[in-house]
Amino acid sequence: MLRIEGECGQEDSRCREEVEFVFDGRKFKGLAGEPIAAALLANGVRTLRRHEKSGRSRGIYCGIGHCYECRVTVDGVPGVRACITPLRKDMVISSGWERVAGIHEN
Amino acid sequence: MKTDVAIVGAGPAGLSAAVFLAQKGLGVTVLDEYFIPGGRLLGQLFENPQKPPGERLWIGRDIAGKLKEEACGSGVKILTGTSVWNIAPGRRLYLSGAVSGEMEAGALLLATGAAERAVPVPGWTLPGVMSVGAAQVFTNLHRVRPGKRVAVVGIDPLAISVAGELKKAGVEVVGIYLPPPGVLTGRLGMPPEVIGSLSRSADMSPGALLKAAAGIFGGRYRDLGARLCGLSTMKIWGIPLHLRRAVVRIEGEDSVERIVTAGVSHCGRQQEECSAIDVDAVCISGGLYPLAELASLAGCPLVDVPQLGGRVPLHGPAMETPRAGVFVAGNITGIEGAPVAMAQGTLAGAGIWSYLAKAGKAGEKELELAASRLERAREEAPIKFFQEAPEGRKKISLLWAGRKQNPEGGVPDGPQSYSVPL
Ligand SMILES: Cc1cc2nc3c(=O)[nH]c(=O)nc-3n(C[C@H](O)[C@H](O)[C@H](O)COP(=O)(O)OP(=O)(O)OC[C@H]3O[C@@H](n4cnc5c(N)ncnc54)[C@H](O)[C@@H]3O)c2cc1C
Ligand code: FES
Repeated sequence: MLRIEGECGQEDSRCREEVEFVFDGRKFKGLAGEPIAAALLANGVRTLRRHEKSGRSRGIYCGIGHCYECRVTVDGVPGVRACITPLRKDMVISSGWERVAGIHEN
Repeated sequence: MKTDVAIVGAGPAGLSAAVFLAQKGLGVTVLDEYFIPGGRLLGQLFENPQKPPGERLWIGRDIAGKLKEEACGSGVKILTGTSVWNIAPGRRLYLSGAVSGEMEAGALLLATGAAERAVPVPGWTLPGVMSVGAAQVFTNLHRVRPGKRVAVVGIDPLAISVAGELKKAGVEVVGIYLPPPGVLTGRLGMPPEVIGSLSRSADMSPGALLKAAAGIFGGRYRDLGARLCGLSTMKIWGIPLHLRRAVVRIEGEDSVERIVTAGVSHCGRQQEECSAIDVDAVCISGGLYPLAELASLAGCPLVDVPQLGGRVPLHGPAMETPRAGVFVAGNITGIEGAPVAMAQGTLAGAGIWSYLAKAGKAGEKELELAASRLERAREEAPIKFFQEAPEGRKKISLLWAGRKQNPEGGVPDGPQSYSVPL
């Protein structure tokens, strides 16, 4: 378990609302207002996207919006930085890989 | 959009200035691209054994929260999720993000803080590799651990501090290592350099981390001549600190699975590789540098001062730059800890107030008070990032004094741009 419980003052994770969201078609739970990348990491998901050409996995690097390594698609908007975008209820997030690779599953 | 004072950066420097200025009755707008105000304070969580019990724990997130409340309570407008991407003459700011468009300000404070230097380690694009800054923010602010078993690459005060913070949060830190030797890492990968700078930190810094380190580095290792023989691994808070071992590769299929390390000779040459160590995350530290691009766009001359971490805007004793009405505060002027940034913010606030309100004698008094508080904050600093910082600051004030007497000489500067009435 990567989430740290308890003793964290003001914004104790236990006081925040738990919400559901979807990432690459799978349902997850996270805390409203935490960065998308934190919610995913707490669920053990580190790969946020794949490199456009090589297809190799990529995750967060700088954690504060500088490096653009963590780009995902949120509710249809591509290029959203997962490290600085707060999670909201029922967000639909994708790594955008299907589109890039030309795989259309549905 | 118009505002009396625009402040770029809602870190400890920007927020402290905002509080000061709003309390003087000025209209203040603070802009920050992160979605929570607080800057690098947000991720800070450490103990300062020098303080009396009860005040030892430094919880950056709470301090940031208090500063934000104080600012908002005094009427400061904080625009988060908003980047400033250009500054044109006349203190015209160009914004994008949550708020976009242009903003014109009577005075401008650049408090953009510091950024982390990247150190490329083969395999560093694998998910699970992140900067120590990211690890700090995820662990201490968002309360999610970067991994279960983590290696730290880079040996400097911030890396060691974050390693301790990770351990406190229940992460197994397998060790702190040198970056791979080579041209890209330069001095960061040389054992004598690393030991030398660490031991100087330990000598002078009374802080949490360095207290632990002082015990280790004191005495015979204090001398950088570092009779290195024999000294290769030591422990800090139970975490192995490998002074002669580098992470040369990070491996894994879809995310981090292991690191490969190798010995490093006295002169920084890579020796034989050792068997791999299983980890699920790696945190890389390459040191900090002042984030001064905006100052340069605003036409402020930058000066290269390695003792302060890199290029910093030339500034005077009231944090003014040669550009009329443009001020700087915090880590943009050199890498120091948060209490120093706060004191610098207040000083810049006093400078801006004097400038805008033509505050005369009253302004001078505020400046004097703020300057003495800044000095005290420096004396009490729990972490000193650059031991030669006082020399660096001296260089800046000499250059500043020089350009006042001889505006033509030395530092590039626009004509008549010096108009701060102090
Ligand atoms: C990764 C990291 C870890 C650190 N850890 C510690 C620590 O443990 N202890 C310690 O004492 N010090 C630490 N520091 C030093 C830290 O910089 C100071 O403690 C302090 O936070 C500096 O305050 P500041 O107000 O100058 O800048 P910051 O706190 O960095 O705030 C600057 C703000 O400006 C914003 N900004 C920058 N450019 C723009 C732009 N163009 N548009 C809009 N907003 C912008 C940023 O989003 C940021 O919020 C750390 C620094 C870094 C980078
Ligand atoms: S991790 Fe660098 S921008 Fe998100």
